Amino acid sequence: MRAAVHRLVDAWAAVRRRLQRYDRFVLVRRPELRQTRAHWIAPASALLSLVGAAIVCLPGAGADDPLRTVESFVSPLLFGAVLFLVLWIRDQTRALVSFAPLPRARIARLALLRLACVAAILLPPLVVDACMRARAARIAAHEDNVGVALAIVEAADRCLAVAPTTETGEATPIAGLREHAARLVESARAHGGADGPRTPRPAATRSAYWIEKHCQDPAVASPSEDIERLERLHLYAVARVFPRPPLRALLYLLACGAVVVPFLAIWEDRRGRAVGPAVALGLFFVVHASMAIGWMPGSGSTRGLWVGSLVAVSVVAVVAAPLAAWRRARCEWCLLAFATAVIVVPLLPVALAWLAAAEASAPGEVGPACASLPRFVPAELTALGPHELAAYAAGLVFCCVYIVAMGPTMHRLWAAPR
Amino acid sequence: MTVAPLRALLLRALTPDELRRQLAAVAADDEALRARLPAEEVGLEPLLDAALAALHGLLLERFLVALAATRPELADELREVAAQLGVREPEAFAVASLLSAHRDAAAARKLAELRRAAPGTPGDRHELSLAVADLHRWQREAGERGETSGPRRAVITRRLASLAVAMSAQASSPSLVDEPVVVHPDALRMREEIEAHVRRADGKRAALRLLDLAERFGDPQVRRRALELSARAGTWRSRHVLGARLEASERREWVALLEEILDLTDDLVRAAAPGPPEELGEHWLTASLDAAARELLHAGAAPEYGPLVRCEGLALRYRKAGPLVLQDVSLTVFPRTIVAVVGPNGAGKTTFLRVLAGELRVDDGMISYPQLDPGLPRGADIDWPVVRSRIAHVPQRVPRFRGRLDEYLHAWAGACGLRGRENVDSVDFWLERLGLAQRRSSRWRELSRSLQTRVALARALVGRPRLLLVDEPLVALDPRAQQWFLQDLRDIVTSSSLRLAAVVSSQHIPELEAIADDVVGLREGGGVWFHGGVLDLEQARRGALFEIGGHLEDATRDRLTAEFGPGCLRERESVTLLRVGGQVSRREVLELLCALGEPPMYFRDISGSHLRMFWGDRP
Repeated sequence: MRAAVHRLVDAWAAVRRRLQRYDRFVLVRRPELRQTRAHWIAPASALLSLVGAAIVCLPGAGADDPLRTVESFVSPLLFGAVLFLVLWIRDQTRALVSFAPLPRARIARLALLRLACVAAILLPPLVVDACMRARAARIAAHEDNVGVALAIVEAADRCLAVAPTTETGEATPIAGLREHAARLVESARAHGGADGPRTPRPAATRSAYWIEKHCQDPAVASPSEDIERLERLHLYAVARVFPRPPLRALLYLLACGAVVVPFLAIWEDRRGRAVGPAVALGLFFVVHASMAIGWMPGSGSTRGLWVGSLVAVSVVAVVAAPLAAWRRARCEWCLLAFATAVIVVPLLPVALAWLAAAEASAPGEVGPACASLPRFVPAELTALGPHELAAYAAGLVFCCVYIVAMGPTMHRLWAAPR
Repeated sequence: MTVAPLRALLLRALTPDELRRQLAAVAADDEALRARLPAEEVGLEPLLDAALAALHGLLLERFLVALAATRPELADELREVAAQLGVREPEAFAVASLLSAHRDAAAARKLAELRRAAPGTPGDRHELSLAVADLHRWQREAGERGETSGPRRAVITRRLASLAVAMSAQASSPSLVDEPVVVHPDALRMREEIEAHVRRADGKRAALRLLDLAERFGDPQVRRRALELSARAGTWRSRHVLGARLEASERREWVALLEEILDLTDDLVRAAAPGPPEELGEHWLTASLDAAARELLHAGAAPEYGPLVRCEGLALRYRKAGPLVLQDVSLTVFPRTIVAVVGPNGAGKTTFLRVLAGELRVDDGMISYPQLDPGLPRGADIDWPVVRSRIAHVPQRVPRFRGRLDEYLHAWAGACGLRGRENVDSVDFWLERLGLAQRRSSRWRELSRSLQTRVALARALVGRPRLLLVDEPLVALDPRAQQWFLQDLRDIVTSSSLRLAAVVSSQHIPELEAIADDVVGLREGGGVWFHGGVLDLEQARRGALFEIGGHLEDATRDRLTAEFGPGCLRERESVTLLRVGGQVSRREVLELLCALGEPPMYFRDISGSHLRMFWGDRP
C-alpha cells in the first residue's frame, strides 16, 4: 500500500515537472500565449468538452429525465465558465507590458487570442448542451414517445373539434399541447424516428384518455406522467433555446470585455478621472438594457430616448477619440473618448436586438396560465438568428478594429508624462 | 664566489632535521635535485656539502629566500651571504622578511608590485594569486582557531617566497612575457579586479566580476560557463569558505575553482578585442569626469558616449498655485556613470527621478534624451514609448509580483521582446549576477526586503535599459547588504555591455558618495544645494567640518574653542560639529582630542560630503 502511494506521489511529481516544463517552454518562446493563458485554456477546454460529451453520451446518464440532467449539469457548467471568464479578464488586466511601442499586429494578435480564449472557455457548456440536445432528440424519436405524441395529437384534434372556439380559456392549453406534440412528432420524423405504423401502447392510450377527460372537465387533476415526460422532451428537443437571449447578451458583453478591458486597464494607468465618467456612462446604459431585457425590474417607457442617446454617445465617442489624438488634446480627454467608445458601442447590438424583439412581441411575457397543465417555457425565446449573430459579430469586430486602430496612439499617450 | 660564509652560517644556525626539511621543500618539484641529496642517516656536514653542491642558480635563490621567510632572525645575514654569492634579489628577500614578520598584507602588496614589474606568464600570475588566496584562507581559519603559526603557513610562506624569487628573476629577463600586447583596457582592468578578489580569497566576488567580464566580452557559451563557475563559487561561499575550516581535499577543490575562474578570465581577456577609437572615450568615462571631458562630450566629440539625459532649469509644482517641488535643477548623465541624488526628506528626490523617468511633466525647463530618443536629430517631440522602454525605474515601493520569481522575470523579458534562448540566458544571468539564483523559485512573500529590492533591480536590468533610476534602494538594507548592493551597482554600471548609467537617490549619503561619479544635492524646496563630483565639493570647501560622536566635556569644548576660535562647535542631539579652517587636518583634530583624554566615540570628516547640507552649511 505504502509503495503504491509512493508511486502515485512520484507520478504526480513527474506530471507536475512536465507541466512546469511545458509552461516554461511557452513562457519563453510564446509570451503572448502565456500572457493569455491560452496554452492551458485550450487543452483544458478540449478535455472538459470531451469528458462532458462522453458523460452525456453514456447510456445510463439521465435516460429518463434529460431536463433534470441539463439543470444539474449544463447550467452549473455555464455558470462556472462565466465565473472563470470574469476572473480571467481580471487576470488579463495585470499582464506585464513594456513601454516599448506596441505594433498593431501585436495588438491584433492579442485581441484575437483573447477572443479565442473566450470561445474556448465557453466551449464546454455549449458542447455538452449540443450533446444533450442530440440525446434528447434521440429519446424523443423513440417509438413510445412518438406514439404518445401521435395519440395526443389525435385526441386533441377530437377535443378541439368538439369544442372549437366557444370556450377559449379551456381550449387553448389543449391546443398548445397539441402543437407541442405535433412539433415533437415533426422533430422525430426529421430524425428518422417516426416512420412506420404505430401500434397502440398503454402510455398512448393513457394520454388520449386524459385529454378526452380534460376536454370534458377542465378542472381535472394533474396530467399523467407520460404527458409530462413528453413536455420535457419537447422542451429539450424542440423548444430549448440555449443560451437564452439574455445569456447570449451577457456572453457577448463578456467577450467584448475580454478584448477591451485588458488594454483599457493598461492605458488607463492612474488616470482614473479620465476613465471614470466613461465607466459611469456605460453602467447607465447597462442598467437600462438590463431593465429592458428583464434582468432588473423597471419600465421600458423611455426606451426610445435611451437608445437614441446610446447611439448619439457612441457616434460622438468613436469620432472624438481619433480627433482628440490628432488635435493633440490632453491625454485625459483622448482617454475619455476612447474609453467611452469601447465601453458604450458594444452595447449597441444588445440594444438593437432588444428593440427588434420588442417590436415583434413583448419580451418575457408568458402565455395564459393553466392550473392543470404544466408551464411551458415561453416559445418567444428564440434561438440565435442571423441578425442577432451579425449584430454581435459586428460589435466584436468593432472592438477589435478600434483597439487595433487606436492602440498605438493610446500606448503612446500612456507612455507620455502626466 | 665562495660558499664558505653560507656554509658557516647554515652550520651555525640549522639543525640537520631543519636543513633536511628546507631542502625537501625546495626539491619538492625537482626530481634531479632529490636524487642528488644524500640519505637521511647522513650527518649535518655531509648533507650540507651535498646540498651546496646541488643547489645553484634559481634553486639556491629559492632556498635562501625560503629560509629567510621561515627564519626571520637570519634574514639579514642570509641577504648579505646571498649578495656575496651573486644572488641579488632584494625584493624577494623583502617579501620573505615581511612574511616571516607576519606582515601578510604588506607582503601581498609587495608581491603584487613584483608582478606588475614582471608580468610573466598567466600561469605565474595564477600561481601567485592562488598562493595569496591560500594565505588569506589560512588567516581566516587561523583567526577562528586563535593560531598564530603552523605547518600550513610555513608551506604557504615557502611557496610565496619561491614565487617572489621567480618573479624577481623574470623582472630581469622580460623575454618570458607572453602577454598579448593589445587587449581591451576594460578587460585588463576587470582582470586585475578578479585577481585581486582571488588574492583576497573572495571567490564569489571574483566569480561575479567574471560574470561581468563574460557579459561584456564573451559569447553565450562562455557566459554559461561563467554562470556555472559563479554558481559553484556561491555554493562554496555558503558551505565552507566563510564558515568552517576546509579539509585538504576541499581546499584542493576550492583552489581548483579559483584556478578555473582565473583561466576563464584569461581566455576572455585574450578574446577581448581592443575596441574602436571611440572606445577610448568609453574608457576615460569610467573615471570621474573633469571639466575638459564634459566640454568635449557636450561638443559631440564622442557621440556614442555622449550624454544619456540632459536637463536644464527644471521646475515643477504639483498644483498650479502650490509650492515648487523642483526649482532650477540641471543635470547631465553620461554612460557608465553613477549620479547620486541626495537631500533631506521632501527635497524632491523622488519627484526628480520620476521626471527623469518620464512619469511627470515639468512646468518649466528643458529635458532631452540624446541617446535614447530616435526623434531627437529630427527635432521632433520626444518619442516617449521608445525613451521610456530604455529607462528602468526602480521605485522605492518595489512592485509586487505574482507567481515564482523566475517566471516573473521570464515574462518581463518576454514583454521586453526577448525570446527563446536569449530570454533564458538573460534571466539566468541576472539572477546569478544579483545573487538571486538560489531564490529563483521563491514567491514574493518569501523574499526579504533586501531581496525584493534585488528583484526589482533584476527586473529593471532584464529589460536591457540604458538609464537606470533607483529610488532609495538602501532604506531596508543592513550595512553589509548596502555595501554589497552598491558594489554590484557600481560594477554593473561601469562594465556592463549595456553602457548604462544610473541615477540613485538615497539618504545614505557617505555610502552613495563612495560610489558616485556625480552628486546632486537637493535642498528643501527642490533647489540645488550643490552639484558636482565628490572632489569638486572637496575643492569648493572653505573650511573643514568634522562630526564628533558622543558628549564632549566642558573642558574639551573650551580647549577646542580656544584652539579653533569661538563658534567652531555646534551640538545637535548626540553629535557635535567642529568647524575649523581648511588648513587643519583631521589628524591634528584627532590628536588634540586624544591628548585631551577624550577620544571620540566616532569621528567623521564631512568636509567633502553633502552631509554638510544637514548642518546648514553652504557649499
